[in-house]
Parts: sequence; structure tokens; C-alpha cells
Amino acid sequence: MSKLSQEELLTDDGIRNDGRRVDEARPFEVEVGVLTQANGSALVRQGKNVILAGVMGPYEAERHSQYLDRAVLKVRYHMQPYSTNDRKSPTYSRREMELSRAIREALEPAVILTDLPRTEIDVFIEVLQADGGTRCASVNAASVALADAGIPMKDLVTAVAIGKIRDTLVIDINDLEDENGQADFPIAMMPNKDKITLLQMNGLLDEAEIKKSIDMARGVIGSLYTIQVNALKKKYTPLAVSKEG
Amino acid sequence: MRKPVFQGSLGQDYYEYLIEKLKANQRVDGRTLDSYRDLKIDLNVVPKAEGSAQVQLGKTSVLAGVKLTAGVPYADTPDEGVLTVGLDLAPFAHPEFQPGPPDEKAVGWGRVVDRGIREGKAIDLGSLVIEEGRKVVIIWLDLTLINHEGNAQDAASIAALAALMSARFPEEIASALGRDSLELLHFPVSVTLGKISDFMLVDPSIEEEDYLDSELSVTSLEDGRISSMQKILSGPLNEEDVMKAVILAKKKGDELRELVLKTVKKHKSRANKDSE
Amino acid sequence: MSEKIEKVREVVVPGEKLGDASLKTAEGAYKDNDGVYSSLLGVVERESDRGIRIRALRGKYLPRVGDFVIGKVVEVGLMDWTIDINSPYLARLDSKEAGIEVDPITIDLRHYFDVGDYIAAHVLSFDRVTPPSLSIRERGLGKIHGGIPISVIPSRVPRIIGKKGSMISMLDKMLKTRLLVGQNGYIIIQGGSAEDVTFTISVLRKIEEEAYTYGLTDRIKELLIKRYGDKNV
Repeated sequence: MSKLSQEELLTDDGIRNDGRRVDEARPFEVEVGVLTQANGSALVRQGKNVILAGVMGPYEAERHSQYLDRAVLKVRYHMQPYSTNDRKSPTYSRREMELSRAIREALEPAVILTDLPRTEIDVFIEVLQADGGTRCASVNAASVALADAGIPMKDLVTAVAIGKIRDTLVIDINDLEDENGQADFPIAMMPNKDKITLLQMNGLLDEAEIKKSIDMARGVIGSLYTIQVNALKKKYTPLAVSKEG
Repeated sequence: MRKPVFQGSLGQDYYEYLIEKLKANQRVDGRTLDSYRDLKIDLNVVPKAEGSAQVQLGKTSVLAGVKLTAGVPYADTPDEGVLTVGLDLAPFAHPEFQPGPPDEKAVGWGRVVDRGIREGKAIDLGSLVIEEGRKVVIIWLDLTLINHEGNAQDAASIAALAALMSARFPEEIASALGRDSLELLHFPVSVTLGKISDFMLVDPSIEEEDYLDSELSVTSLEDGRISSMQKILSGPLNEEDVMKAVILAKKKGDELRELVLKTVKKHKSRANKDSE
Repeated sequence: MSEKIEKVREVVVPGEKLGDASLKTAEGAYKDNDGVYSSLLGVVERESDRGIRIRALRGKYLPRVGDFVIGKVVEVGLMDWTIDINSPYLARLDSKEAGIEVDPITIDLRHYFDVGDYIAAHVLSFDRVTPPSLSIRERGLGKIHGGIPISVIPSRVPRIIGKKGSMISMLDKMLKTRLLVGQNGYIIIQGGSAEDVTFTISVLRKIEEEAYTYGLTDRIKELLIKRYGDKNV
């Protein structure tokens, strides 16, 4: 990974290394129902991230892992060996385990688990290309895949990472900004509930910056959410043309 | 796990339905016995890899990524580059797939791809030496079965070939070797045939796979030679079956190969245009 | 060029607001402090008496008492069978509900239904905490002998049946095959030549695909007439 100075990451004119402004998110695309064997699926491109999420289930959980009053949600985040600049070993790493948990806990508050007691819902996430903020892109893919699987949910979940470069807060950081910046602050929300479901922070921020970051995230999440919703509706809004019209 | 053919009160009826159609040179999805499903190849779908290809064979989907790095050769082949092939089953590709290390099935598919390339001498490993005994090119070919709707074998073989052909060396290796790509010598493509009763059909779908007595994958080269064969499942084959399969595999292999070559050529000329 | 008017059903996603808190809700919606929200990806049905209801576009079958379902035996026990009904929950058919008095020492339940067999049954009870139980006591229920099984998205089954059975009775009259349609999305196609079966599958797939479009019955009717003529209309 290349070392970049703060000035290289953000010019005096407020332009970032990939040409974006500080308040500009990366291109975000969502495709729904891309798999045939999964119960629900979504492909998300967020910047250069390419993330595929597939939901298997709900199905009856093994007896020893059943809950009588709710479903069990399992999440497995996994990176393909060719997804990163340096080849990643295909074995499941501690980092992947940590992220799997963060993503699961980001999704759990949105899923109405009590509607499906004794069952298990598996969310499998494969990172096909990684470009900083894979956990946020994964949350975005997984929540659409869960909706696509017909799982009852209170809301979708949408995520974005705020960063800090040259003492300035920036939106939706990429790989280089994550590596060389002053902070990485991923946030996931249930957009219609205004509730935060994932929050991690690495770096140095003061109280005012934290408050501002959350406000900035809320704004971006609103526009990313619209893209998630449109993708779901586009897939399933039937184009019924009535001749008698 | 393979399901027993005549299981349950409806198994026999479905089998007879299949056979009745096969007698009329038809398959349940509308194809004839010797026709493939639609093949779609997308190149450079993972730009971070040195080469990549996504292949959709009907609804079966395989992604191939090629990483090219400089590394130490094996002690017994100090004057050769290294080729490593792996195949991973994404757990959402089929309800029976479990996360974790590759199982017998995944290893089998990966091995056929590996042997087709290696035995076919598709890549001149001797030309991948940067410093004899110390530094050679390592080719990491990683395949992911994304969606399983039958015949993952051929989809993987095509994805592998397309990804290798379109791969570009990183600058460091390119300048050391004086060329920018692998420059394949041969173009191996596998063609898989299934046998049900007395019928041989190409590119079995997942519905058909449940009823196959045996399956034979034949990897052919552009010059008509065969670089690997693999029979799987427990049904036996006759000599005539094998020879028929070889002839059909060469014919179908040529058709598939042509599409791969055309797609890569188009991609390269477009990439050249972009860089001008 | 004549102008076409598109009539499109309203698709909602989980979390989407459907109305204020006074709105009556049936399935697929939930009340929060300030309003009623969808909990499913589905199409909206506004029924004046029952309130708003979201019909799921995707997802597995959730059993309802009294439903006619088709199941596949996955396990044979000493006193009961475990049945796959295309649901998150495996169903249970007790030997008593099959009208069999069992002495587990002398009778092997596999003589009646073995693993892989298909059965037609009614849902007797279901509360999500205990497995859904099935019954085959009524006439016409029990083991299905022969046929080609296919599976469709359960929420599309009402469209295959049609309003007051209009679609299914048209299919029965005009197809050369017979259909057993389970509410759970498992369908058995019986009789007919291989060609008739293939055609039947294509018709069912079309209904499944276009379940929420307008004018579907007419389009299916055209398709059937084109294939078999209009004698049986």
C-alpha cells in the first residue's frame, strides 16, 4: 500500500486523491436477485468494492442452537484471494471473523427475529474486490439481500464510513484514505428509524467532530438508502401494460 | 451428495419424462443433446487482480481471478515459474455447500482445470524465470463458484482460460521479463458430457446432474490433442462412449474456445485503444 | 403510435411508511409510534375492512391451518413422519392423523410412506413454537402416485389458483395434464405426454413470473388456445 501525505490526499482546493470533493460519496450501485440458489441476494458496488451477499434460509436451526422465541442470524464475511492488492490467503482470518460479527450486529436490530422462532438465517458475504469500507458495503448488500429473501424487517440498514484527512471530515473513504488518513469512522443506520446499528472508530476525533461525522453520515445514508430501495423496487415492480388503457 | 435416482413416489416418473424427451433429441430445458446453454464471458471484472473473468454458462456462474507475483521457485524446478490453482465454493452458490475448506467436489473441479492447463503446456513455465533458482513468477489462479446450476466444471475451465489470457504482469515483472502478459502456448477448454441410460448429453444442467449415471470431462487443445480427461460418478462407460465423447468434446471445445479467443481479442484491442 | 397506459401495483420495502398509526394492519405491516410500516418486500393490498396488508413477493411458505399442501417425506420415525413443505419449519405427520394405529414394534411406518414420497395433506395446527402438524384423514389426501414435481414461489400460488379458482379451473379444462397445487408452492403435474408436461411447466412459470401483472388470465388463455385450440374454453 502506497504512503501518501495529507496534502496528496486532499488538495488546497478540497479535491481528494480520486477526484472527489470532501462531501461526495463514491458511485453506489445495487443489483437485486442475482443468484438463483440463494433465497435472496444482492450485488453492491461501492467505489471499487464489489460485494456479493446471499441469504440462505430461514430454515429450522439445529436443535442445540435453536431459540424458542426467535431466529438465529448468522453472518459470514469472506474475502476472495484476488480481491486485494496482495493476494489474500483463502483461509478464514480473525479479521474476517471480527467483521462478520460487526456486520451481524449491524443487521440484527432490523430483522424481526421474533417472527421466525426456531429458525436460522444465514447471510454469506463474498468480497470480490476490496477498496476500503468493505464492512459498510457488506452491510448495504446484506440488508438488501435479506429483504429480497422475504425476511421480515423493521427497516433496511445502510452504512457509510466517514474519515478525516488534513483535519477535515470526508465522506465515504476509499482504501488510500483509510490507510493514510487520520480517522476511519464506519456508521450504519436504520434510515427510517434514525437509529445507529454499527459504530466503530479508529483514529482521533474530538466531540464536535464526532457529532459532525454522525450528521454527515446521516445525509449520505439517506441517498444510499434511496438507491437500495430503487434497486428492490425496480427488480419487482411488474411492468404490466394494460392494453385497454 | 448424489441423490438416488428412483427415490420416492415420483422419482421414476421424472426419469421417464427425461428419457422420453431425450429420445426425441430434447432436454427438459428445451435444448438438444449436443447444445450448450448460453455462454457469457466478462473480462476484467476484478481490476485489482492482474487478470479476471466471470463466466455465465446458463445460470451457472464462476469467477476467476489471477494474481501474478514474484516469488521463490520450488527446489526441484528452479528454472520454472509456479502455477497454483484453487477452487472455492461460495456458500450461497448451492444449499448443499458449506463454508470452509474445499470439499471433494471443489477439489475435483479445480484439479481438472489445473491438469488441463498444466498437462496441455498452455503456459511456458520456463519463460517465467526472473532469476534462476531465486525469483520466478508465481501464478495464483483462484476460482469461485458463485452460482451452481450445473456443469461448474466447464464454466470454471473457460473462466480460467479467459482470466489467464487477459492477465497483465505488474510493472516490476513486465520489465524483468520484457513482456507484459503470459502469452499462452495452448488454449485448453473442458467439455463435460453426461450419460443417462444410453444417451450422452453435453453441458448437463443441475436437474440432469441428479439423474446422470456417469460424467466425463474432456479437455482439448486448439490442435485437437486432449490434455486431460476425468470420469466421475459410478456408472460405467463403453469404449464407444469414450470415443464419441472425445469427438464431441473436440467439436464443442472448438466452439467454446473460439468464443473465448474472440472475447479476449476484443477486450485487448479495446484496452489498447483506451491506453493510446 | 398508440399510447399505452401502465398500471403498476405498488411495491414496498421493509421500513417504508404506509400510513399513520390509525391505519388497520393485517400481515406484513407493523405499528411504530408515529405510523404503520411495511415489514416485507411486497405488494400493497388495501382492504377497507381488514386494513392494509403486504403480500410478500419472495420467501418461503408459512403454514396456515386448513391449507392444502404437498409435502415430501424426509424422515420416517417410529410414530410419525417428518415432511418438507417448502417452509422454514419441517412439518410432522402423526400416524394417528394418517389413520394408522401403530404398534412400533410390529409396524414399520416405511410401509406406508417412505423417504422421498410425496403426500397431499392439510395443515392441522401451527404456532411456530411446535412443528406444523399435518393430517391426511380426509378423502383425496395421502400418498401421491406418480407425476412431475415443480416448485414455485409460495406467495404466487393464489395467482395460479385465481379469483374464486378462475385460473386453475381454466387450466384444468384446457391443459392435457392434471395439476395438484399445494398452497406451499409445490405442484405435481400428472398425466399427458412429455410435450404436454413441458408446456404445462412453461405456463406455470409464466404465471409465477407475471403474477402481479394485470390482464394475466387473458394472456394465459391466449397461450392455451394457441396450443390446444378453443374447444375446451
